Amino acid sequence: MKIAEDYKMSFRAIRRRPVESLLLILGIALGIGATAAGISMVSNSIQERNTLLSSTQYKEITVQVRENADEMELPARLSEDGEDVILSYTDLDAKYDVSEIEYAYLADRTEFRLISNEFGPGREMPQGSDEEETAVQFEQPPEAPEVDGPQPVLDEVTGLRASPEYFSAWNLHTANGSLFTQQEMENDDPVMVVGSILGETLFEDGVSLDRELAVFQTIYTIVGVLEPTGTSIDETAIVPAQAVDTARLQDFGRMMQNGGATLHFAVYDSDRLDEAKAQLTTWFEQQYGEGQVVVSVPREEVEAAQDRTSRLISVILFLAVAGLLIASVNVSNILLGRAMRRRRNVGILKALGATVRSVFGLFFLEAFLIGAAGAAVGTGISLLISTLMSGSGEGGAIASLLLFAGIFGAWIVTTALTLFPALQASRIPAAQALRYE
Amino acid sequence: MITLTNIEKSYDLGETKVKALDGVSLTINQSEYIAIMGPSGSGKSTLLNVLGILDRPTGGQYLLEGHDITSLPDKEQARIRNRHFGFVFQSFNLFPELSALENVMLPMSYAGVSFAKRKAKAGELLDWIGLDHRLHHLPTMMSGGEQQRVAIARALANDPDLLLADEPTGNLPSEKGEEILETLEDLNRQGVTIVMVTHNDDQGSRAGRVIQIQDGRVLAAEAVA
Repeated sequence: MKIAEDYKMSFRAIRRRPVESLLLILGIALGIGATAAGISMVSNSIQERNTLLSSTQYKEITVQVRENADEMELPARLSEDGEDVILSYTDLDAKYDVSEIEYAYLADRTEFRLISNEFGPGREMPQGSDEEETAVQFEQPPEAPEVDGPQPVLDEVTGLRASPEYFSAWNLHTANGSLFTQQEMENDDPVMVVGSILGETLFEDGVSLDRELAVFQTIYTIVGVLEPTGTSIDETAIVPAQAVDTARLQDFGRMMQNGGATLHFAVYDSDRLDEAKAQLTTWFEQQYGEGQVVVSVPREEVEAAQDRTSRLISVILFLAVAGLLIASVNVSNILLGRAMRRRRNVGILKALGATVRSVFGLFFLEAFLIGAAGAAVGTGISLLISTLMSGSGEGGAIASLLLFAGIFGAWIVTTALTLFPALQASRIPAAQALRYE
Repeated sequence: MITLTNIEKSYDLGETKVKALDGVSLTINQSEYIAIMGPSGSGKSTLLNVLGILDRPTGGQYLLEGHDITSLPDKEQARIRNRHFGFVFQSFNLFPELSALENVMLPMSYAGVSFAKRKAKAGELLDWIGLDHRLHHLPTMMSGGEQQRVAIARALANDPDLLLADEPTGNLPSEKGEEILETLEDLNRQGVTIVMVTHNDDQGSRAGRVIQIQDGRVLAAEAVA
């Protein structure tokens, strides 16, 4: 009924004390901005954690002969009673004795030094490279094979030695050509499957399928190019893992920087990882004796790291919410002071026929407008923080829906605290208010 | 119109109880022009506040048109103040954020009058009181006399039966005060009941009846000759 006058009075009351009003708005804005950003950080962290842990590799248990792959020297061996322990493809049979295992494969990361006719033995090293260092790191075999036809434009690629089950475990399919088979692996066929990006960049003309590639003493034929996955696999070359063949392993040991036979066992349900781990440990202890292999769950380390991050973010959120509450209480105090200074107005309004409710509405409207302005500025601050966090690559991009939910929630808190001064103002007795000078 | 019977109003000041009104009984008839006079602290303003239902008496009976209104809820008392009473204060008490027109429109908004009607009525009242050229001026841009005339226009917005004026000329130079008094007398001639608190004997003598009050008690309620 009197909306127009109420709005005018509220707006003009805010305008009459511009510095005070600005500080109020700024206080609310900072509180809201920080809270919304904090809530979004927590949510983002949870979302990232869930996304990361839903990845295939975090449903896996890995089995290695040593805990730290960086310390490994190939061939991967440990001795027990004078016998070497070498984990191999046949150890994947453990999956038949552990009911929780969905699939098992063998995969080891490595680097492939590609031998081009342009950089072969007796030819000049690439410009700018340290000849001595390169010679040490990438010692060329005495008789490097030569490949006729197109030469690779890259001299080194990320590689993977894997059993064929790797493709089904990671749901990989070829865009062109085919995947290598178990038969090819057992025959030690020199075949290679490359990721989508690598397939386009390996040769100058962007064609990889059916091309040959010299890697140390072996000439591989690219039999398949994978569909894009949006992961590092797109830039990876995958060759068959080796069956138990110590001589070959020693040979490959020169090529594999981090190597080592690593067995991967993935469970149906990540909640059963511990149980599966225990069963696998027992199985390998029966095979090789206690302490010879290390059975580990990569998920545990990630979870622990993420728990630490979550705790840190929770503290940040707590501080942000505390900041909001402090700002809101401060706003409430200032508004109360503002209302008390204008108590004579309350008396006049009541003399003119305003009810307690009308007076409350008027003062609350003023607080509401200040809160709305603060929320608007706070939204800007939240979006700014969100943009900065996204740009910094810290994984802090704020989901917009949650961002606005955070802003709305924080605004509600602030508005709730402004109820008090409005209520106090409306309850001032008219005659007492009129006596106030 | 109004009958006060044995009205009491006391304030607790710690352990001390101060009686601002002590058994006040009086009757105010329709279209009367009454001056309430007495020394400072005698209870004049308290009596005016009780008459305007801005203050609840702690004892006694207040009948408005035969109805006891002392125990009415806040909402109902607010409605009576809005529809039946108009207030004029010594220090004008206009809202500084609102223009003259908006100040006059305000009481009508509480009565639920539409925006167009209250704007038209406020314009008419300000025109009647000689401030048609000041409609959109803020109070701070007007003289004391003009502000008090806006306050009178505001008090008349809902066509009240009773106009309560608390020393309406107290902050004005005599010439401007005279204009205000003439306006009040004019309103009284039109049938509006006026109750005015004043210190000024001359102003009191222009009323139809003077109520002398001291120490919260009515000493005399005499008709002016």
